[in-house]
Amino acid sequence: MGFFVSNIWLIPLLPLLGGLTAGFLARRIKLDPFIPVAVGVGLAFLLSLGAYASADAERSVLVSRWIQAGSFVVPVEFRVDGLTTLMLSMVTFVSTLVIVFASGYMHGDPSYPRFFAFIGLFVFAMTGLVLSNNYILTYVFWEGVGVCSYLLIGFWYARPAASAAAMKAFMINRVGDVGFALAIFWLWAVVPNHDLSYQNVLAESTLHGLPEAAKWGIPLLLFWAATAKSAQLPLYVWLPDAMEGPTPVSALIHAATMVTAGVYLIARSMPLIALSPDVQLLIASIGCATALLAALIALTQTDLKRVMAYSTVSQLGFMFMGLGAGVGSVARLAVVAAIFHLFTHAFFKALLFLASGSVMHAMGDVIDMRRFGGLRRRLPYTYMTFAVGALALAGVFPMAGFWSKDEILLALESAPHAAEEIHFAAGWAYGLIYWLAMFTAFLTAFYTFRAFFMTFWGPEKLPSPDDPEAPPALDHAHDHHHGHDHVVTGDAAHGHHEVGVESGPIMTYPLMILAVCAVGVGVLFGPTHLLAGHLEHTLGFESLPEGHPEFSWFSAIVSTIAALGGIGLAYAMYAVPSEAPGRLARSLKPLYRASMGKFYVDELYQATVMKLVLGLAAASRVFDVKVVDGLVRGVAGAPWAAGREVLAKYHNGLIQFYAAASALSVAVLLWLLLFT
Amino acid sequence: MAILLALTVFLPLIGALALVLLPGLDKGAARKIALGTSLVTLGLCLALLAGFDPAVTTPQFAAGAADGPYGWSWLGRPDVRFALGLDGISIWLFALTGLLGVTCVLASWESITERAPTYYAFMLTLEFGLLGLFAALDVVLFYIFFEFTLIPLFFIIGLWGGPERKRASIYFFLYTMAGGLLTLLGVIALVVVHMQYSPGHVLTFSIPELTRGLSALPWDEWYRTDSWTSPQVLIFLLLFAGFAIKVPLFPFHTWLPLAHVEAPTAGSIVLAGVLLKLGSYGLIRFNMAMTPLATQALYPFLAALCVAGIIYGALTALAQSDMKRLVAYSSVSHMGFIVLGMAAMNDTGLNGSVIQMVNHGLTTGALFACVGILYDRYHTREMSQIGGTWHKFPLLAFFFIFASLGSAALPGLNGFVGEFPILTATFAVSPWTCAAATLGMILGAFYLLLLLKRVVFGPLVEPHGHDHGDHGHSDVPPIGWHEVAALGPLAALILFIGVVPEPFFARIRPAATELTRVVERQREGAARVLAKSDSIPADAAVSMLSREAR
Amino acid sequence: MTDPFSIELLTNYLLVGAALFALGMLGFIARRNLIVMFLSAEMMLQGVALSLVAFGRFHGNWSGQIFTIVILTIAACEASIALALIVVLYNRRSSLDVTVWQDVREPGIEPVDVAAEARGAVLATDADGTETYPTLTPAGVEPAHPIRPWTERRR
Repeated sequence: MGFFVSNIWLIPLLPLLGGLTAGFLARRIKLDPFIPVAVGVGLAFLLSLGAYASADAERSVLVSRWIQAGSFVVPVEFRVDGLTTLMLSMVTFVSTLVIVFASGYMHGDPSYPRFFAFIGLFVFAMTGLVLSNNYILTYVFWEGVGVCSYLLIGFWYARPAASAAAMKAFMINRVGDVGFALAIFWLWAVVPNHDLSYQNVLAESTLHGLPEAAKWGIPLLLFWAATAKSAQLPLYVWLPDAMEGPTPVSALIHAATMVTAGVYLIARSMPLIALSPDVQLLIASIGCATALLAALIALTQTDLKRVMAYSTVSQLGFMFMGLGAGVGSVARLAVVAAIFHLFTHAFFKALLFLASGSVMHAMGDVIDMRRFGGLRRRLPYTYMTFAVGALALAGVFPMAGFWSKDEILLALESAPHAAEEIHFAAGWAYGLIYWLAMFTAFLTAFYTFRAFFMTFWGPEKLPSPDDPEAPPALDHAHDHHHGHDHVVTGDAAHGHHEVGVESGPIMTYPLMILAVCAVGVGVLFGPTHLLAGHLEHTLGFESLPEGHPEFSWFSAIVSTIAALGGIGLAYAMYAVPSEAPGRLARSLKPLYRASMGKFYVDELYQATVMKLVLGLAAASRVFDVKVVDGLVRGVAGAPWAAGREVLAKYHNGLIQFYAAASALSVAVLLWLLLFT
Repeated sequence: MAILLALTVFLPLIGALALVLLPGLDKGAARKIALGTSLVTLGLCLALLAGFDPAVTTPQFAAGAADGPYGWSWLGRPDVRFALGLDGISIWLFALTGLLGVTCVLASWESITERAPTYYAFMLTLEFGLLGLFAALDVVLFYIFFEFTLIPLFFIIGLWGGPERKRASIYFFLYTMAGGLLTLLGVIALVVVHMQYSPGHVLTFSIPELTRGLSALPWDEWYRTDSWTSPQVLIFLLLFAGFAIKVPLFPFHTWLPLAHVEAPTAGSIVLAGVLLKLGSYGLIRFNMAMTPLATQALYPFLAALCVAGIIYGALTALAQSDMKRLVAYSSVSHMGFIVLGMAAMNDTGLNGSVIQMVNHGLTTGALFACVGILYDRYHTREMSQIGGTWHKFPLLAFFFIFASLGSAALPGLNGFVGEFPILTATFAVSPWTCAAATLGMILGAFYLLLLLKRVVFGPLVEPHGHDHGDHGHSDVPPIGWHEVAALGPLAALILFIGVVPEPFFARIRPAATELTRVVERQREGAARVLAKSDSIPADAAVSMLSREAR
Repeated sequence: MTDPFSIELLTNYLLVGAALFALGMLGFIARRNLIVMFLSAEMMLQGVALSLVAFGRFHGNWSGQIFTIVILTIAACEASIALALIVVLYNRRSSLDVTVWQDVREPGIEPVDVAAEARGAVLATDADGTETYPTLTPAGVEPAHPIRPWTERRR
């Protein structure tokens, strides 16, 4: 084993050290807090590249034995295989760029060190998640990234919206974590030696030895976990709200890396998931439904970041469609497609978010697209890079998104046939999913370019407070008030930047690098089979059937037409201000309003789950006081009442009564003793 | 070493006597004496911890001959002995008591102004009782300490508590003592059963000896658990009564919120941190170790109480507006996990339960300390009146978030290393119980985050009485050194146990294994009885067999 | 040589003792005059003492006598204390009737009005006509007497 493999533990450790230095030490030694984190993560990236080169399916490194509670043993063991190293390189690369961007974006925020400390902590947890070699350790980091996300969404703690969003994110992720935890408990109970390392669980002998219920139960629980972390139906609602966090956080955590953890988990467990085609179909269906729903919501959103958030949800849906398509002989093709999409998506979505952040930065923290427009001259770099990202997201040849999305479509296209081979009756559903995916691709292109045209084309317009679209001044006034205070409450805090001016090079360079990636990674890794070849060095993947990966001209052409159609429609409607969108909205009013209101899913949750839980809570509070405590008081009161009501009458103070009573008692006792 | 252990136990009592007897002590001198005493006690605890040999499964630091009875002769006839000793289960609770003793003194540093010498004397007396209880190797000694701890806490709540302190202290005292008396009955029954049926009819009060003797009692009736009136089940229920109230398990928990709300901060810390563990410790020492077959037969009943407590406690916590009450109900929920783990009666569950007892002491102690800090400043615990304290006390916010996340069993902090083994062990025994208990994980995070959201996050809110213009309350003192000193070690340990749990498990594991061995011996006895008699009906046979065999 | 104190003889003694005890008990319960009650209690003691002496004689040892001597000693002390108490009680209420002392009862319980019939009684000095002589009060009925503070009557 080479240097990179035996020292793989440095990859999580360096960002952690960077984060700790930024949080506790940097101010004291007069160091810009972003430097230790950037250095730590950058070094981790270099190490990841080294590990990438030495990846092997069977390679793992034992770092320590962490928990040994009886038969419950959790070693800290890192796996260095294809999937891990791919994820590692992607995570550390994007993180480095985001950290550099953030050093400009967050400049002047009083909590600047805290921000970088959290980011360092996050990269530590995320790298740990993809490195860990057993389910429990994965769970540990899984929750770890969750808490980093919580802390970063709630970064501007004074904003009620931010703290509410943070809590929502944590809670929904907790719901998912429970699924993961149950899967772990179940696995622990059924695998040999209670050993939850991947090589043991995913070994063929173990998989064949699983009880029948576990063969579909555990995959289902794992998918449950993934739906929360990767924002799928029905647990996606936290992700759009997570945009309350600083924009670099949205780019890094809520677009490029953390939210793909669910996809990673399912891909990692693919040999296990593949035991149950029913669950796979469910995964694909949920992915498809999520992708479609999120795309429909994104059509009408006016908040640029929210459009991006919903598009993230939608693209994650695509990845799950890919994973779910892996029935029978397409298994490996499908997993590779999903991971490929995860990989390319990380670059172009980070790019789009950072570009949105750049717009936001330039607009004085206004993010409502109705309040600005025609920015292409004022923000040339942002404009260009955003365009590249949008093209990639829309899946236009030869951008990254085109190649990866095409592979997913290919997997979906061949899935019905593969399902037939293994006699899986419901395989026809994949055909439906294929066409829905195609339609979603069209919608994706449309809403992406709607946002693009609304922001950068048309007549130039800068935000002004007396804009009719400006929100009721309350929130902002509030922020402003506190802005003068020692307390800082929002993006508004770093308002030193002049409105309408392009961001500095420290922010535009990362954009450009990401733009190059958004163009290049697809064509570099896809058609050349570089990625597929690398993923072959992944545990369990070689046992998956290889399938017949052939480039499908049909899918490619149809999806390109869909993408171009979407772009064209968006151009026609939004490139120049026209009456068309308004007319269309009026003619489809119910649909428009439903989309605008995000299909009222949040309200539904409020009205059902939240109401139920809070109602039960209130009921148990009353129950506790009235019934449980009442019972205790009742029991304690019984002797008292007996004395008061029955015996007190005989306590009359008459000495002769007492004498008579005792004489009588003695007589009774005597009688009992002598005559019975 | 035996002398050292006895010294550690008695040192707080000596400090308390000094506080009472020295004339003319004022607040400053009293708290210094108390701090000094508790610090030295903690030092001695750490020394014992350092001298503890992880490989030995028998009680350590015990006086007495190698093969003779433990401890010093005390009452003569009957041979009740003053026997102290520590094993892998008790040593951690012992050390936790030492640590929380210091925390309690520091948490009372400014807030106790009236009759300070008496207050600290009671605090130290309480510490003495708790240390003695965890070290006791004799059932009579154990029971004396078990009841003795009520007295100082009764006065601490009753004299230095909130507005309803009298009712709370009486309620608490009577409730727990009522249970304690039933436990006494159970303990006597154990001793008598052992004397009656053991070979040689030995009358012994030694806990290790009783455990050993009862696991190999040549009395067939002892191994039957098929009816509510079979001896083992009856004794289990008697013992259970007192311990379940002390833990407290649902539905015996109502004394807890009342006592917590009325108690001064330090009282709450020691109550939640250590006093509740008397119950779970007793359950391990007596119910699991001496009546394991009944524990196993009544597992559905136990598990139902635990799960009900976990969910119900969490739901009730969710609906509270008083911070202290919220944390109090969270204790009900968390103690449910602890008992659930030990009820699984395998080494995984036991390990998890024991470490979780320590964890709960640390996190809940820290949470109560945080709430106390806010109460000292604003004189309210209503969450609607306090908010956004991050602005004013960033350090407090850090501790608050830290303790809450630890309490919510976040990996990397201490709650995880206890809760996860507990749930794993439970799943292996009963998957649906585990699934229901995991609801507690969700709800647990819910109420803790709600607490954080209302109190720590959001714009600054302070009670109206304190409003002094734009910049809020300039009169509110910042976090003092003593508060940092109280919370700092707790936070450090919360992190340390989460990251490096192995030193803890290394000492718990042998003791837990030893306990499972005792349980195994009783199961063998049950199997032997089963094999001998065909007359036992089939359902009885099922309840007598180990679950694994099922 | 057979002991002349046979079991039959013992029975006789015991019967007398039991009769004394029973009469004393009845007196204690039925009479309301404090002094009479005290005397009744003494009578019970004597009944017991008689039985003890008889037992001692029957068994041929002294323990019965010893017991009785102790009882007599105690009874003497007790008598002095009891009579002192009775004087104090009389001084408080100018009555020897035990039913005027019902203070040690549960709060909220009405006092028992045993002395209701006494209200109909006529004071001896107020009665005109033929001279009357004091008669024994029927059990449970307060004797008719002038109710005046003792301080006045002392003069």
